[in-house]
Amino acid sequence: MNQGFRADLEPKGKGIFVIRLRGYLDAYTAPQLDTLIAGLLEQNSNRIIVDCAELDYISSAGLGVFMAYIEPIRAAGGDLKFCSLNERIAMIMDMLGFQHIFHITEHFDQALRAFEIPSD
Amino acid sequence: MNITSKHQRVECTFPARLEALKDIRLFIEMHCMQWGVSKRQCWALVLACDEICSNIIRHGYRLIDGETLSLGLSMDEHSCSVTIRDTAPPFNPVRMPRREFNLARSGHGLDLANRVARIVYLPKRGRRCYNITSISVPIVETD
Repeated sequence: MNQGFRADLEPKGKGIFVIRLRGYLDAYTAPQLDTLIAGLLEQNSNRIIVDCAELDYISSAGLGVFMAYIEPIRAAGGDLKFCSLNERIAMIMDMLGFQHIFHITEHFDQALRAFEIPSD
Repeated sequence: MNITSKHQRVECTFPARLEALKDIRLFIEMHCMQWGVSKRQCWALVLACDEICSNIIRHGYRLIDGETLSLGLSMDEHSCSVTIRDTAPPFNPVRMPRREFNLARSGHGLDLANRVARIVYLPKRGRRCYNITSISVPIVETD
């Protein structure tokens, strides 16, 4: 039960960046994620995929980071998409209505394709 | 950290700091596992406790160092519960209305906690100089 947290950034080309979350995202670790996303926005990198495949736990403090940035990201013409949520994290996002405002896909490739194929 | 154990009740005092949230989660997970609480119910208890403790630390104690949170974890045939005692200015986690989704950065923690667990809050009053927040989930046999 290692309760650490990591957020790794990986460029995928075409201005798309992947944030791979690992471990436990809570009120203590959320500022790390906040700093990472703020840094991307400063560089006008606003096409972001949040890969949750190795994210074990999230609390509202972690979700609050995404809520804080989604409007400026979209205003800049970008988007923030989620993929590979485990059952518990999907349940939390569902409870808070995330599915109504964020694009959430089952697999990473689906999120990537969604950026590559322009939507109407 | 001071732990006492008798039957299916354990108590532990934690520093009221955000760094301690992981220790609080581990404390609950470790004992829930030992007591055979389902993973689903353990997760709900951990999440609700994490949200309530975060709020007490940030909004009650206002991140001031040197304060503590006392947790009692117990289980009977009906429920598994965490009782949190703190001495912060009263901060009622129960009266927060359920809200519709919006883009507010904060304020969703209490909503989330109320959705996964039953929460009862007793502010400090009279001779009792601490607040009590009780978080409980029903016992279910399988995940």
